[in-house]
Amino acid sequence: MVRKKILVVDDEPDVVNFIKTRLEADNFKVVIARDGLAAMEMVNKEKPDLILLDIMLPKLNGWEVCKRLKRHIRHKYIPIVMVTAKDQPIDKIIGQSLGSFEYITKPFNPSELMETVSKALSNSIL
Amino acid sequence: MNKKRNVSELDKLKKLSELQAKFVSTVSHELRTPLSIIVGTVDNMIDGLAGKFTASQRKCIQTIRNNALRLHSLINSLLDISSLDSEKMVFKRRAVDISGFIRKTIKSLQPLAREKEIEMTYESPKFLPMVYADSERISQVLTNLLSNAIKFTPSKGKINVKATAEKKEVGASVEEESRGLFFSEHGFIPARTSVTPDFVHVTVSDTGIGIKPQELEKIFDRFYQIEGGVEAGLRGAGLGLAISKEIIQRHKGKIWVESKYPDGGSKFHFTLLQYTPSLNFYISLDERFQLDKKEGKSLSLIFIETSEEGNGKIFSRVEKIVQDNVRGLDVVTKYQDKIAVICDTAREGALIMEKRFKDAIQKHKVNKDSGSKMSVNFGIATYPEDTATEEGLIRKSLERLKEIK
Repeated sequence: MVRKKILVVDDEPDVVNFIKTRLEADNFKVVIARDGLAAMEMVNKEKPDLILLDIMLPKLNGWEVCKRLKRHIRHKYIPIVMVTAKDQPIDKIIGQSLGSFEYITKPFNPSELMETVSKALSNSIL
Repeated sequence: MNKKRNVSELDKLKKLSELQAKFVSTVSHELRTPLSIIVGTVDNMIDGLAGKFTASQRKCIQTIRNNALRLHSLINSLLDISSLDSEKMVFKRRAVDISGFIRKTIKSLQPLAREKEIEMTYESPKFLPMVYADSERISQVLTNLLSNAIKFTPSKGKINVKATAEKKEVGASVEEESRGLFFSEHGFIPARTSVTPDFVHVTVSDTGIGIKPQELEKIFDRFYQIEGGVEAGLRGAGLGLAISKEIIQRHKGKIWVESKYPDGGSKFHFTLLQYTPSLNFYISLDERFQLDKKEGKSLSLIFIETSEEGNGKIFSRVEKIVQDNVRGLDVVTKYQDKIAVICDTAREGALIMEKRFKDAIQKHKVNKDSGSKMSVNFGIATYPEDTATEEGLIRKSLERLKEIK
């Protein structure tokens, strides 16, 4: 089976590190972006199977990245998992038509992360 | 001159509260991020992703993890208290099936109880009315009460949750300041203008040692810790019950405790408002009122009363006509035996609405069909022209209905 590729977008290197370790242990290939614009580039270049997307990002925030991807004919079917902090008004934003995505609230434990990732992957049409 | 000063003071207060909100969200993010990194990394280590450990290394790592989680729940508590104080905590209230979420909360704490071989049970009548609440916040209260009960009950003990519907408020031990007033975030709608609200009463009882009489009053205070209750590692911040009390009170409910010390166990009680049509009216009025007041807009309340000899068919026909003739933002609800229209407009706007209703009723020949013994009366009051309060709006428009007769 081909290893699935996951793009992790977060500006905290340590957050990226522990998520990367966990995902690699579960046999995913991991690529990284540190801000919103870099994330857009990486999507074009790496064509990931799933994106783990933090919301508070430099240059271009996570919602904006999500919106742009969902508008894009080639990228709109890539499943996205939004990573939010506890107090962010997720309900409101879900109502806006950003297209479908999963989300996970920080801090999450490993089993939550893996569950959400596999749920998002199984929902994807590709 | 005076007005000018008030405005600038208001601006200052606004800025201050914005600053506070920003401070809280910054602290929230900046404290939580490193903590989630610690927990995430430690989780990786415990799962062996960084190589194998000796038993004693594993024990050290487990200690780090437990205490990071403890710090995390402490930060959450402090943030809750702070957002309650600044009135920033937003309650997403709606009609909620209380039995459903009691079962869910019990289930989520079952593993913790099993560790101490404590039996947790739930008792309720077959039919329990819906309550008007923010289910996430109420389950926070329940989680707090249950985890306290588990903490203070010796192993092989019992914990029982019970929910019942009650006609009137049950005998709380503490006289509440807002007695006779209910449902408004700032609390002032008097019960005399309404039916008495019904409550759902929930109790959580345990078979623990109980609470000393001199501590009973203090346990809802912030940062209060029961004397010598639990071992140091299990101790919280003493904020759980204080937060629970705030949450319940903001829901216009009550929370209290009774206990037989020693060894008689403790029994925590809380009450929540049942969801009823009259309550629905208050909720709509209150939400609209708070919003328009904040934005400096006018608000009109129109009561419509129909009278006829015979059955109430006219009422529902008029109600339907009114529904069809309001604008998008206007709310039509029932208040006692009247139709209530809450509209976002000054007096002139309300008069136009009234005319529109009258014309529509005329056109539908509601009058002719039912003979001459029927009448439709309108009573209108407007904020801020007629009154400065919600209570005033209700009273004024009721008075005007009577004048018409």
